[in-house]
Amino acid sequence: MSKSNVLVLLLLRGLLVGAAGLALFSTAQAQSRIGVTQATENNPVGKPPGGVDRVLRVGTDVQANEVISTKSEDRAHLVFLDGTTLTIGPNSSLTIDKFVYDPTTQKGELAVNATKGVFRVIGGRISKTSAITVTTPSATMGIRGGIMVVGYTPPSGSSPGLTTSIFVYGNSMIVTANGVSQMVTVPGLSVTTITGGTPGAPTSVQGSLSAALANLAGNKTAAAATLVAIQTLVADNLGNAVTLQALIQAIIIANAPLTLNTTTTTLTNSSNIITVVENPNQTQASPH
Amino acid sequence: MLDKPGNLAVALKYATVANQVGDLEGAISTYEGMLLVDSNLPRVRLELGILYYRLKSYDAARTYLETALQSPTLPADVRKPAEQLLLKMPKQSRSRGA
Repeated sequence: MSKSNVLVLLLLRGLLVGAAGLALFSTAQAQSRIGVTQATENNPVGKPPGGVDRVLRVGTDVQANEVISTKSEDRAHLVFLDGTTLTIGPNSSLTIDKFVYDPTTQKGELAVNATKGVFRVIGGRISKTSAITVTTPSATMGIRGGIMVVGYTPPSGSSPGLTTSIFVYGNSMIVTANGVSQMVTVPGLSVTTITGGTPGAPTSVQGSLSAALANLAGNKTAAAATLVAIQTLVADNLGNAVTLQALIQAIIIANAPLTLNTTTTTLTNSSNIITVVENPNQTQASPH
Repeated sequence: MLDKPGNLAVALKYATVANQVGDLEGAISTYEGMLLVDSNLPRVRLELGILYYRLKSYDAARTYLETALQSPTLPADVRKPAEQLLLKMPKQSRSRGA
């Protein structure tokens, strides 16, 4: 990496930390700001505590204890002061239960309560030292240093509520319900939990993850002028074919699989049963 | 980023530099947000595929590479490297719990 790139990143991070500092220590209004809406599709709605419903637009502040909901074609992408992002898919509803962040120590706490829908959490600085939690009516998921996708389907007729949590990347994802926890450290594995039950064993979920990612990305088409601007920026900032070829060669070599070494360990911890599924090398299966 | 959340130039610059210095999650966050501006950005999807590959999150990587390659607007000169990476994609682990 070049010194200039490091400088640019430091400056950008300075803006981030500066914004965090302003949010925490300046006006009363700013003190309640815990993040901002970075992107949306259609009309996701936020309701701050004591406030009224407002459509979230790019740049709309997000506050602690805000209730956010989406309809069938709505999506929202929020960025919190620590850099954590939360993408909210269609037909979803959640409350940001808790957000605490100290930009000096880069530590804090983020907890979300979801009652329906699909969500993606990409952990920022908080998740480096504390798990970010998403709670649904059937389970609580904690993600450390990484990315997870959580979906909750409310009960309907004779079908009970169901939480599906997918570990995309990171140190670990822990799913807890009724005193039982499942910890996953292998990217791509999913845990399902029926309301009133305990978390199931982690399983592979290729189709589910693809569907969830497509659902979160949506179908939006930018205006022609915006699209031209984006394509120009992309061409200017992302590598050309030559550099891309070199990069891909390098990462293929860097990711060359080692011997698969997956372990499954069952631990008994007083009344809790903790199942650990991990691959110490984070190596997947053999290549094609 | 927080002060100019709608500024795509700032976002893309942040993602590019974050990628270069190893903050891969920061880059992913930004690119994922760009897909809500326009879901058909195959070059952005290709970047996401590469980033997830670097994180060894192969299911996610495969998803983004495949959708990038399905787009007719993916520039021809980057199509071959993308196809090459997809061919080298390890299968996702089938590990499961007890």
